[in-house]
Amino acid sequence: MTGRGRARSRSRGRTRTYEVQPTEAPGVAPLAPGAAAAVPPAETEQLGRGRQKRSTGAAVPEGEIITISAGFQQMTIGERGGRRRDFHDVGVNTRQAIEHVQESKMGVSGAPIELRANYFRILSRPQWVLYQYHVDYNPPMESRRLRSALLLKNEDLLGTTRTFDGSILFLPHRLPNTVTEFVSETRDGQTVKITLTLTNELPPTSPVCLQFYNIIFRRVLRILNMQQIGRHYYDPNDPKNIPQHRLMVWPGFSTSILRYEVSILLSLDVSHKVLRSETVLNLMYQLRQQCGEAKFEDVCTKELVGLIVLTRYNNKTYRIDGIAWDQTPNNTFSKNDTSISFKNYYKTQYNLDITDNNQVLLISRVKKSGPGGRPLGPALLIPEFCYLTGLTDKMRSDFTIMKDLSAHTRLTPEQREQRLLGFISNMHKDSAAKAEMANWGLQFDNKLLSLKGRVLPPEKISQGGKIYEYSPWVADWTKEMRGVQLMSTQPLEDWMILFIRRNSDCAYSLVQFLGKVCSPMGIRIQKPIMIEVEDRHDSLMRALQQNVTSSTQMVVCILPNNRKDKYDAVKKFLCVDRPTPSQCVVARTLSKPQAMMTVATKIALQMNCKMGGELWSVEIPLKQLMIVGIDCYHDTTAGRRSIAGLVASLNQGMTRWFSKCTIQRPGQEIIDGLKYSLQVALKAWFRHNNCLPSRIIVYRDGVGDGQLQSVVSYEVPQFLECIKALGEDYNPKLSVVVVKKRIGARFFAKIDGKLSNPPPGTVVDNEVTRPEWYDFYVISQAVRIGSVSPTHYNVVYDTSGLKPDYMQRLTHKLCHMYYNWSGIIAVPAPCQYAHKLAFLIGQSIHREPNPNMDELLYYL
Amino acid sequence: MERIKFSPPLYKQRYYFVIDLIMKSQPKKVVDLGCADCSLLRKMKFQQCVEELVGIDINQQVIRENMYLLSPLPCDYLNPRIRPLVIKLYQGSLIEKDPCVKNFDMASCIEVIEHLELSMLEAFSNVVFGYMTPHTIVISTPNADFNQLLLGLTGFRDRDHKFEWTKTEFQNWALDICVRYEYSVTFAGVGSGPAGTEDVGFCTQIAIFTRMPARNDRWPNSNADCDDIHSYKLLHEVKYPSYCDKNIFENALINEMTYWTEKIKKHFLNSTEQGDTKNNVQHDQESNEDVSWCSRSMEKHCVNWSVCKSADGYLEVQKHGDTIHIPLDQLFTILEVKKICSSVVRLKEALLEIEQFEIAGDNLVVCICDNEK
Repeated sequence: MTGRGRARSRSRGRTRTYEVQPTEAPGVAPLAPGAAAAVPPAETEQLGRGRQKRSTGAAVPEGEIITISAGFQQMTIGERGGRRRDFHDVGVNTRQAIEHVQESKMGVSGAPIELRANYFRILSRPQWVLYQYHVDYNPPMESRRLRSALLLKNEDLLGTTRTFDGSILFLPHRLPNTVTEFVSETRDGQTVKITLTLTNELPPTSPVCLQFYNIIFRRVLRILNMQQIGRHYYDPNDPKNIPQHRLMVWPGFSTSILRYEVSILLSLDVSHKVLRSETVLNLMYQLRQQCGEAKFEDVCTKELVGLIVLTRYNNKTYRIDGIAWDQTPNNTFSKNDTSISFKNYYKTQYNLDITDNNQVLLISRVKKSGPGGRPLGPALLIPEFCYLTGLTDKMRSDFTIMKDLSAHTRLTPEQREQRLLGFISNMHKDSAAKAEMANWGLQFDNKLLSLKGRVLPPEKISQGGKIYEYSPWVADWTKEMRGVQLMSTQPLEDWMILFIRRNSDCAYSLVQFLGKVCSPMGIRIQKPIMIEVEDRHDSLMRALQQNVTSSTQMVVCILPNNRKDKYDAVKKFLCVDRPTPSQCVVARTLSKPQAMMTVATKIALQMNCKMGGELWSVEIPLKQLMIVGIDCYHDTTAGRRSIAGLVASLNQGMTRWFSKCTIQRPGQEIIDGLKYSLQVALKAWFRHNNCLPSRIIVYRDGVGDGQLQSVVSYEVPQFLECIKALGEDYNPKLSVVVVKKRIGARFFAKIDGKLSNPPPGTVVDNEVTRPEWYDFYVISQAVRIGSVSPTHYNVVYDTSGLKPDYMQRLTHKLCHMYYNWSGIIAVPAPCQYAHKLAFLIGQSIHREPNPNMDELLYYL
Repeated sequence: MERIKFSPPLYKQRYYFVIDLIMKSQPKKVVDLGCADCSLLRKMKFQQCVEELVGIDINQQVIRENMYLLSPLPCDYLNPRIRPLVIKLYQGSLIEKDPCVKNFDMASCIEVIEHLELSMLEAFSNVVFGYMTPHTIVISTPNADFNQLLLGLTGFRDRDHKFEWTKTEFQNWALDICVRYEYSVTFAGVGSGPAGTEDVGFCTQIAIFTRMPARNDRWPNSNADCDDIHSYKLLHEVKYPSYCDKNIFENALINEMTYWTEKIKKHFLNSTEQGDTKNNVQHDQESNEDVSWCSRSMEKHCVNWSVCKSADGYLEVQKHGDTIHIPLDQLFTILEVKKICSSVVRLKEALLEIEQFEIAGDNLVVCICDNEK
């Protein structure tokens, strides 16, 4: 158990963790002292659009995404104007190209189940057409505020119900003429001719109208005094305090109104925002006190870069990209051709006094471009005015903090329903909110959406000639597999254990227990070479260099603590320099005698997998099928390199895997690495099966919100091309499935009169799916606390002709095949393997591992 | 002649002028007459002295479209104000009376009067100077003398202007007001013309009226008869979080106290377990540190820390059986606590009221029985 604990906590912070490379403090180098481009961020009327996370997935430069979706880009409107990215991937129509799901994409097998989902029906919505006008100014006006003011002087003509973003005007009624001209006057007497041209009449179902409903809904949230932080809204009046860690949690909601399978629905999910009541400056003081002057710059950079901050003077969020060690509030910047110090600027603009004039400033690269499309320079922020949001890596790995937090953030299905219904009823009670919605004719249902799902039957697990079933609600077969021989094992003959003197008891006890647990599993085990090393900086590494040979089957290191640098060094040496499967164990895990049986069992299983053994399998009916799992790890610091892990099956039973990891070079697309990996994986398959697979199913994880289009139009063609390259007449069936775990959908089942989590194996493929996609949800895993999070599968390309039912069942089967967990996991095993692989490379190794390891699950 | 360009723009200069005035005179209650898109109010709300901020405009649509910009920011909740602030926005006419803005400390009326018909101006003066009677009122209006310097301008600066006064006209009007309503006035302005045109005056002329100190005695209950007539319509009201709110105050205090007592307790237990050696070592390290960018302020922030650490007897945390006693004086040295509570007396009063804290004399009693383990 404990072995898993470490491995898990290490990989918990996926995509949010950043690399430890202090030498490459980003953003500092290009900033010359007193850089003119650096300006403090201005107060704007726009709501904070700071993105919470660096989006995951294919690292296609933003500009290219824009060109793909240029047609659609035109139609995207923000609440107060301004273009924004479409996080819901609306307008990516993939189903139309998949012939066999034109009529239905629903499966059939399994027992029907009544479900509730966190969606609300729209009872009434505007029936009128929305009129879109293009607004032109002559002479051209640059300031959006001015454009807006000039237009609104003609209220008598336009009416009070309207939306204007600076160039496009939406009206619920039609103006008498297609082209309307009038003259307005600026404050300083300049006359401006304004021309309104009708460009579009939008029916209530058009995507622009949907965006419109979202805008109205956001207005309602604001009326209810919810605060927008990042993309979601939070209630500041009911904070949950966790004083011992100086944290507070704001409860809130993520909302969106979208067109789903049969109707337009409001999706509403509970969200929590962790905030800290101390400023970045305070944190800097603390860090400096803890680590001392010498290491301060490194530690501070590591701790702060990547965090999102709020400022005291506007409602924007900024991501800290670096620290300007040479800048203080006394430095000046130029504004309107005059130079002003930061200190004076904040005093005159916001009456804010800077108390520490020697604090260094924070750098945030602002993505939005300034007036006239000129890119803005990096913003410099004053730590004293910045408040931290979210958790740092250090906090995330702190067990007590996470435990205290989860008391507030983990909600049972019933608590969740209560929150959602409470919000809807508040909204219905508030008169101003009601009025806003009534103006536009919007009305929402007050109960959760009901829908039907199916529960797939539990799988039979076969292991070492025996077949057993697991309890469907627990979805775990740790008990069942006890005492049963493994499917195939690798003997432990030439292996070693390294430890320091203090931990020699642990080491000998581990050997003793491994001896006990291995034989029932069918693992032949010999005495290891016991190597005692000194507790000095480099003695462990030297011992490895001296003792590990090419015939060594396994290296076990007992680490005195969970310091990352030591772990990284061991892994790097044994993955790159001298490729050997290795197992690191923190001594503390071995300190409890009563837990030793469990720990030793776990370690034995893990070592067996790492050396190429197989544990169990489920029945996979399809022949000549290669399953591919892909996930990415994004380095948030140091040049933001991405690491793509690809794992592909090598046999019929999906028990042996080929793993390849590529590190994205600067300026290179992630797909280039994936293409190469897929090619070598196919060659490996050929070696093992003497033929190429006739079907390939790719499970692509790590695609961020709004990046679906790039997967469809870049990655899929590249996969096809890569397959083509293996031979003109080689023409396998290909399916590409985008896997998403972080989604807003939640499903509940009424069980014994109580709202509960649906059982493992629940499939949802109607109502809350999207009509333009071939998509479905599966809840494969079981959770003990809180609400289970379903996984969304979107089949974006499919020439397999496989019935949706088969696709769903195959997907669920694959969730049984992750050897580091004797139970069902939330995603198909190859995705989780790919994640583990990319995480290990991204966090610890930073180099491509030795190809000798490719056919082993060495990264478990 | 070149076209005159003001930098910063003239409207900003006007705002800065008002803000400067607020900084100088520290009013508590401020009203902006003719607040339009609330942009001046948005600057005013950053002034910590202001406790009540009111905006009035005849156009309710423009208020409705901008009123949420006056909502508190997330950080206002993380770092509540020391003093309260409530912002109210009304739709109303400046020639009608409403008791909601009576006797304010300051009123601003920026580029508004020229939009009133001359015939309405009398009623306006009567309402503002005779009924509202703010202590200070700042009124700005275009200076017609300056128009000759604005190239290409024919007629008024804005189509909606009903009049634009010369310097003399404005000053005569202002002086007449002073006589009739017992105010004194000083004149100023923003936006100077090019060198050599000083006698024209500023582009925007400004009058600052101040109520005569003796006035109140002679106008005892002026117009009290109108006080129950409400002619303004309240469109929006928003209350900022502040430590004057009992809930916020207690929550903040509980948070700080829990955090710091926890820290002090841990430190106390550590130091009693490990003896004084470690403390001394730490102390030495500290004194060896270079004085660099944040060290001076650090001392300020961490004063409680060094106090807790020093083994020279200064620390008066005492162990009594299963509890330790932390002197309130000691807790009050913590910057965050100081910010929430104005004095040690207040701290004690507040802690006595909160159930979870135990006070003995001038000490906070903290249990050190290990319920964590």
